[in-house]
Amino acid sequence: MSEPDATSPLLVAENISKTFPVRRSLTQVVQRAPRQRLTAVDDVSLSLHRGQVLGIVGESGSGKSTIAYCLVRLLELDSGKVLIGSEDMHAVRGDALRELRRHIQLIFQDPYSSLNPRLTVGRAVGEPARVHNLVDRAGEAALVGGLLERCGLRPQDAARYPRQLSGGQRQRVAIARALSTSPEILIADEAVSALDVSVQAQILNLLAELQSDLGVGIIFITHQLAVISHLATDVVVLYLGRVMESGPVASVLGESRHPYTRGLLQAQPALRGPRTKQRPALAGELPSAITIPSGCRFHTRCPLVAPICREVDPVPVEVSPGHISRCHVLAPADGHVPAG
Amino acid sequence: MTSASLSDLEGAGASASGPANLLDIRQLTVGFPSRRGVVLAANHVILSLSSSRTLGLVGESGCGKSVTLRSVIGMIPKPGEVLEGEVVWHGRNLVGRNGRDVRSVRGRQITMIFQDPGASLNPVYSVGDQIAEVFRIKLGLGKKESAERTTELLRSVGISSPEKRAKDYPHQLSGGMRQRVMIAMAVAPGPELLLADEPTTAVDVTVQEQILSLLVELQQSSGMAVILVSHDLAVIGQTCDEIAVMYAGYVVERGSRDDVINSPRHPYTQALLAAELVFEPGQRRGRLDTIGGQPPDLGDLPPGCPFQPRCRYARPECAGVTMVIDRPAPEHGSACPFVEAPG
Amino acid sequence: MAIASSSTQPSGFAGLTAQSAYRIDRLRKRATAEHRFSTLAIWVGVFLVVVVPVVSLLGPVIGFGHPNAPNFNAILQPPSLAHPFGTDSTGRDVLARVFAATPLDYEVGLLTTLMSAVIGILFGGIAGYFGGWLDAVIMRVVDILIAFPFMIFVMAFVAVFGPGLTGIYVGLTTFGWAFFARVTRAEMLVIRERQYVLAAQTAGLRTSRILRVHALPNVLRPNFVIAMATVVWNILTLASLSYLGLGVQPPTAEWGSIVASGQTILLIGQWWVSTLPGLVIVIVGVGFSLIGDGIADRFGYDFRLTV
Repeated sequence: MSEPDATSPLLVAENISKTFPVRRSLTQVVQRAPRQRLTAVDDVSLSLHRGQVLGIVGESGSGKSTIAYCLVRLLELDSGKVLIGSEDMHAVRGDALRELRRHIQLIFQDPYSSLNPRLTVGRAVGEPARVHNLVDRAGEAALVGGLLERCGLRPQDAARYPRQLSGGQRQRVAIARALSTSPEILIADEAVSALDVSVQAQILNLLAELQSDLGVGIIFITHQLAVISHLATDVVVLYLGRVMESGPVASVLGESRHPYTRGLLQAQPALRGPRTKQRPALAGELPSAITIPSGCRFHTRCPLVAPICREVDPVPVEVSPGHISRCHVLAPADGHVPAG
Repeated sequence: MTSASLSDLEGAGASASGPANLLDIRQLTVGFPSRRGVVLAANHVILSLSSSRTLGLVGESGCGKSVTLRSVIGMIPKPGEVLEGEVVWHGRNLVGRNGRDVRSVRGRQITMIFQDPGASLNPVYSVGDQIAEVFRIKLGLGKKESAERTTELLRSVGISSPEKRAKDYPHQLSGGMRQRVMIAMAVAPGPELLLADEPTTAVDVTVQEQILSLLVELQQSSGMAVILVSHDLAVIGQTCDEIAVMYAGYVVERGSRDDVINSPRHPYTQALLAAELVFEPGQRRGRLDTIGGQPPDLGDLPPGCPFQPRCRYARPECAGVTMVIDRPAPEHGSACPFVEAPG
Repeated sequence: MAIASSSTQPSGFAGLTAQSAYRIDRLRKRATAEHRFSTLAIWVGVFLVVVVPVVSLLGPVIGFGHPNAPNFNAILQPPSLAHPFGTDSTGRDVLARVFAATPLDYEVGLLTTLMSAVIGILFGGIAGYFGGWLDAVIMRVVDILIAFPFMIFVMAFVAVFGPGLTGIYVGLTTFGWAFFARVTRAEMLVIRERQYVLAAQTAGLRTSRILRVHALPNVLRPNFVIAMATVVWNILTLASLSYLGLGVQPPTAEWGSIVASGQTILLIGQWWVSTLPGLVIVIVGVGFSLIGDGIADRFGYDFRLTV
């Protein structure tokens, strides 16, 4: 991650893993085939500091959304910890959990289903603060008005219903609602993917503003590298549930040390580049998350695959300050071939 | 709003004489009923395309690009209707024709691929059967030859072990492979024109790269024309020869890809290029240029140019603009009479 | 070709030919017609449902005889101005009896539906939201209830509780909640994954509040449609049971029993005792059904309980 911050991290995820059971077909049950599990997140660690915008980028099946849900405990972990401040989100219960939830909020992808159609904007935005007793009836209107304005809406919009708003406006409401309890951490799960291009930029600007004005830490989950390059300070690149590369954005995207990251970079369609392109960067398709490939899970598609890649899972190696990569070829651990 | 005669409108936008156009869309206007009356999803659209060329239709949601595409093949979703205009294919108007006429064109000379491959692949037949069916029915080939051509075709769209894969059912294939199968089905009859409606929107970027390069390859080897619809300007810029930008049902700018991308003439195109999240490594823009305001509500458009509320160059005269492209194809035309390309 | 350029047209329509102006008109009419039709259906239904009790209440005010007072001087009179529905075999005014029966039938229909709905939504909501073994158990009970032949089921309760309404109330409610539960569970499965529910969970809301504020209000609409059909169903069942002699006992007025009392004389010329009250049942049934179907059409629900 970036240079160690003077203050302690807002959030630390330590070795989190999450798998899902896979439904068996009748024939499989009869044949007593072993139960399988789908690996969504596999031993991921990351941390978020004040002032950071951490981008988590990956394609489908990378586990990025699952991570978001695990960080806010919408899903239970198989193993690992999520520390908010010094408390483990997954170890507390009841009131303690509720209290902890105040500090970390999630902005969802779909502006059309992230707002309850039966609640006015004002009620939706004010509800979290009210429920946590941070504000009373009298103060609620002021709080809601302030939040709406901060998010680019008008205080009068509090009386409107979601169906009267456009996608971009709804997303602003979702952000205002997320800010209701003054959280230190915001997680945006593909928060702009469902919006029109002209509106995406507006929302990203808003998030950047909030980050610098309020000092919140943001974890931004996306499949769009462009978003990362515009908004994030640090980035984590995921593939099939595991971190392939992580570090400061300039370093990871500018001087990438992992073939998957390089493949992603090359695959970005180039608006102004030459029209005839060389061969696609990455051949093949994502393997099934039920049977993760042996060794380095990326080896089935890797243009630089070496024999060791099929056998041994690479260890994380720091290739430059804060920049970590997991690759035998581009980030060998001091030339040592791990025993295996 | 001043009256204009139809011939005036047609004159400015009609294609220049020259090599005969494969496809000519003239004044296409498509209406949909809505609570507010009727909205025009496509409004006097004029486009043309020659053989071996790729035309990209780009715009945000509701701009009319999908509707325009589907009109070519006569697949406008009900309750929409073509209110005016023609789609001229090989000199004949396809609009309003039905039955046998269209069947010889649709699925044979003009084919289409969609955003969601799941929707166009029948889940109860193997993919091989579905492709072979195209050969048998559209080209009248025999069973054995169809099977052979199917295997060849699957190989040419990048599916390894095609003989085995042909026996698979759609649900056994990944998204990217299904997309390739759909492309295979679309090119099997050897079409002259391929319509692609957001074919890569639902797939990962690494698969998108493969699909786009496959499309370009197929297009170059067979000489077919392609119309590609996408909201992603970068995808269009990467693959198309010509670009038409649409907004609120109108074509607002049209020209070669280099012209439109490097010297955009219409304010909307300029704003779109500025706001587009284009990946530029090493460059972290602090604040993105945005297009202020909301996407247009087709039921509530201002008089004249629909981009007025969001346009930085808006002026009172905009209310009288007739949204006609000023220069005929193949020149670089724009519907804005007031603004020129920057620099 | 003339261009229809009209200042009354919304913008964007300039430059259209007269022919497309015609087509636009046609499209517009078609769209609004469908919308109007289902709205009309709802209002007609509401009218029918409301007019019957209103007339029933006002009728006696205008002055019809006591429904249960036999008047042996006027037995079996055909419909006339004095007796719009005629008189029955004991000389009672049939219309007055129908009026008197209205509160009973409405009460049974609406009350049993309300109770079934409350129970059904509760159990269905719990099953859908929490899933697991709770869901499995509740849904098996629902399946069993729905599998029962309905009439027999209710008759069994009547047998247990004896003649009178208690058995009918219990039977109808016990059977009815199953349908509400099923629909509610299906809706709940979808709603609990909706992002606004997830957002509420992330915000730390208690489950009770999430269910109350976020889940429940969004579950109600399809249940309303089911409720309308259930009301009709229940009224008809009550009428059928009374017709069979298992419902209310004479001399209490109830539509079904009135119909039954005219059965033997139906085909020998005194038709009015059975058919006219039967018509009232139909009107009420159609009214509730129209409301239910109209709402279903307007808001896009596809299921109908055929009654």
